[in-house]
Amino acid sequence: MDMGIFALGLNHKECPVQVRARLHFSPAMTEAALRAMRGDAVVQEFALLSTCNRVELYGYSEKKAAPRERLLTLIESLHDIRRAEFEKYLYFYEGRDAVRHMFRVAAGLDSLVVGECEILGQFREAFRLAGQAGTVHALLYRLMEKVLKTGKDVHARTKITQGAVSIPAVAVELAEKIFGSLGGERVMVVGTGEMGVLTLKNLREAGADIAYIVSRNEERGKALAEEYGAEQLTMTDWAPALKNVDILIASTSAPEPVILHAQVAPVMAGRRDRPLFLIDIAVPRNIESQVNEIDDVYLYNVDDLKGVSASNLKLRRGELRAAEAIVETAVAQYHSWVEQLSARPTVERFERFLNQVMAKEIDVLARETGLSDDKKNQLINRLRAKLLHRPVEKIKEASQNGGVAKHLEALHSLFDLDELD
Amino acid sequence: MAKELLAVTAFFYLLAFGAHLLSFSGKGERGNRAAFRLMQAGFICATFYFVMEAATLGTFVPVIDASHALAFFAWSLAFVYLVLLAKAQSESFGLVLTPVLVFLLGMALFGAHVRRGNPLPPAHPLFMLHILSAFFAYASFAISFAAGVLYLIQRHELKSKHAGTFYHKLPALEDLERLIDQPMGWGALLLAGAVAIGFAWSKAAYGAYWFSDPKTLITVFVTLAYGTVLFLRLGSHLRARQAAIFSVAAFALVILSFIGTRFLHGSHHFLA
Repeated sequence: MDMGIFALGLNHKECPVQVRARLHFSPAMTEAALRAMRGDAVVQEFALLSTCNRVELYGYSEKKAAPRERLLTLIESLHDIRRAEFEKYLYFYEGRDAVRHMFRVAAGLDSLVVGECEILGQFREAFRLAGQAGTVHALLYRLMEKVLKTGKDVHARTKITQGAVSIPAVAVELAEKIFGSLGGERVMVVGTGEMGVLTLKNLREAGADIAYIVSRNEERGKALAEEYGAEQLTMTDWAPALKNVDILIASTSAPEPVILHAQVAPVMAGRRDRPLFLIDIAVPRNIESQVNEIDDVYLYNVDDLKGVSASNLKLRRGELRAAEAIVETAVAQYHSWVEQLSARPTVERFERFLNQVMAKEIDVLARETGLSDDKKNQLINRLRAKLLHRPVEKIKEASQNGGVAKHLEALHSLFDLDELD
Repeated sequence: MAKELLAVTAFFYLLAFGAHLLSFSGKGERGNRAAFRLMQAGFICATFYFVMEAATLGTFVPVIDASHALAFFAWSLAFVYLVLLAKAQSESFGLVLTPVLVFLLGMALFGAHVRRGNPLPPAHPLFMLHILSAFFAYASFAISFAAGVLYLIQRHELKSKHAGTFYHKLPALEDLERLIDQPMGWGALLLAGAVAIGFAWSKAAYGAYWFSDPKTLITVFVTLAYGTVLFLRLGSHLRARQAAIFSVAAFALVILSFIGTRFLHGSHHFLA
């Protein structure tokens, strides 16, 4: 039955960002797509996930060959794009492969940054919307539950989410390795480049106190100072405030260093109780590299931050095998559930067959021996339970490795179940 | 039976070290928890050992020879780490402290035979207090030593921009700094107290102060050294790196004063 489950999509690995952007489903378009697929003749169950790195359509169809064409038509109808422009980037998974793909995506194993957690929330939202639109029923609903639970398991039982990867997050991680909790640590930002401001935001979220904003652009500096409740300084009067600072971010566009060894050394000579963390995000460098030689000063430039990021990513990749094993177990469990579900009609027919045979023979016996109705029913129930026990157990066992079909065929042909009323 | 209990304790600590090592290298996910349980088991065994010894010897603090002294040092260290510093426990701390515990117990079992150069001191309350203060001071210095070692490793990782296993597993520098300074402070106070109580007790028991005893002299020197470093730290005249180096070097002196004095003649000879 799970052969009917499919996943069609494109992602960051093959598809250029321009094409992905054109195929992105806004909330309104997602709603329109779900509305269009409700009660569809080809696709019985449907959900849609659209993020900046991937667009994926999941569902269940009883008609094996048809869903791909139906989905491409849907995409074309909602986006201003021709099929030829995106078809070569598409992947289409069916059955167990589709199920596995969904588990891997939700756990962050297929993400641009391996182990990122955001995708799990996006997955949850995608299925919430599909549930709300009424395009998800028993099969996908159960799959959704399992996918979300497995995603959480992977994050909890492996270290795949550990270690920061983005530059601002690495800066915060390093700051926490120096200061422990960042509550109360005072931050100065020199230059208000995009990455500098992003790092500032991350530090603020981690509890740091944004104390000084230094910017050549007075308006931008003022706006940031107001936003963070910080003091605004100019490029000529920031140096005296350095002694009050624990973390400094440099991100100016100056062609040569603006923070010199000669400025930092006297500050650190006069303060022996606190370290100083300098983050140089600028290219070319804003801080003289010799500053790192000063005791209690920790200087990281962009390349150093990227080095830490690469090391963390390596650590995450080292956890992939454990994460894949959790996913594989979950896929097998879901597959087993679907197999058991597909066996239910045949087992019910077999039960009816047994009931008919037993009722007929035991009626004769009851007439000959004077067996009461109660005793007769008890005997039928006991015999039915004993006769069904073995085949049902065998089917359950077979559901673990996809061998249910041959047992069902055997039941059908041995007992002519198809001819049963 | 008592010695066997001590051997079991050492074995538990050795297993805890192995579990910490596995956990640290990422090969045993549950290693940290197992190591903690093994340390607890070892600590319980050691406590039983001292209860039995106390009952046998008829004294509240059964420290009468070098073997007892080393074992009691290990017990005090485990007590401070497992009970007083429960919140600071981490696999990295365990990794440094468990070999120290194994070393102390190994010395207690095999390296220090019972020698009683002087008659056993009377079970005077001041003597008990002297012993307890001194051993808890040493245990505090051991914690400070472990934090110092970890601080220097983590500092090296951060300075060299090498985000390896130590970078990930070791606590933050400022957290380690606190674990260097605070136990050093407790230790210096306790040791100063132990010296003062020791003088008072020797005067009461023997009618003379033991100023010329080598162990006493080294201990006074250690107390003054720790006190000076603390004074400099409180006045922000000494960097954390320097305090870390001191905590490591000074602990070597503590061990030296503990084990080395057994080769020197003096009034603490019954402990050596």
